[in-house]
Amino acid sequence: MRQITYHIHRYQQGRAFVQTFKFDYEPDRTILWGLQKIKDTQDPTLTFLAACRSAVCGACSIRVNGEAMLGCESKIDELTERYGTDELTIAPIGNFRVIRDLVVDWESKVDRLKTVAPWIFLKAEFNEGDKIVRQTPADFKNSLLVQNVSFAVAAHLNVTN
Amino acid sequence: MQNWLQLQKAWEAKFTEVTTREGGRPVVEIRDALADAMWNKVGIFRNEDGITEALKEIDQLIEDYKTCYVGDPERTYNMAFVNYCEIGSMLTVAKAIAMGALHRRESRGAHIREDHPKRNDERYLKHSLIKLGADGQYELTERDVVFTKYEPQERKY
Repeated sequence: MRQITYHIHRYQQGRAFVQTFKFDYEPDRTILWGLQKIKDTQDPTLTFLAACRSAVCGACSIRVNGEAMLGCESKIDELTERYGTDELTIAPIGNFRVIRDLVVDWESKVDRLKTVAPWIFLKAEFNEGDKIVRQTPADFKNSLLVQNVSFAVAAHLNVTN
Repeated sequence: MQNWLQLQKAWEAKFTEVTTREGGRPVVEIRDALADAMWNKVGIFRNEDGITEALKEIDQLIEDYKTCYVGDPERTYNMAFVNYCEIGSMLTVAKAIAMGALHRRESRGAHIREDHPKRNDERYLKHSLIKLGADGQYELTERDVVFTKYEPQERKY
């Protein structure tokens, strides 16, 4: 039976260590599924986060072999093929304080978003005194799209750095 | 303020008791059994036999839950304990759903009773209310529907 191995960077009660877990391979499963499998069947103290499980919320952001990704989106099949091995190293995402195992303190992300400034700046000509800026519903829809994309990019930069 | 302190103390005691248990049925097993029962027997298409079986299973799970195994005593970010609390709430809601489904011998909206395919406004144009008593007993009662601007009527395609 093919086995998948996770070397997980853990942090518990001030102690950092790497722990190795093995579980039976199943096709078409995600990295997050593997973590849940370990928590369910081997070690209930393994701590990680996941919420939407459909690549929207970002709660399950982790690093696999040093690369930041979403656990719910990344397939075990693709990663074992890319790295040519059934052993993967799982670590919390970088640049954040680790609270426990793969859970980090997200508080600082708001300040960091401000440095990226993911919003639209008014042109000076629209920003004088009491001049009213007229916007059609179509313009509004368009600007929303831009905002959403910017936000996603900023969040992604945060994760990958 | 006193009330807050009491609540805090109660949770502390509960946390310690629950997370330091050495044995019992694992929470994840209860979670999976509950999901199976609800998915297969209390889905959109239901019938008396299925719901009755599911209720029996849920009652057993509620019993098992009282001594279940969480396995993580640490106080920092204890997701195992969070999962434990979530499963407890799910068991309560699952039981209420199954009781309501068993009680309503008709089909209405997404509640389709294979053994009672017709809608019955005369008998069941009511709210079903489930009350959980301090003694752990679930009690089902009904309340009349108050009509305002629109009279409800059967949806026909």
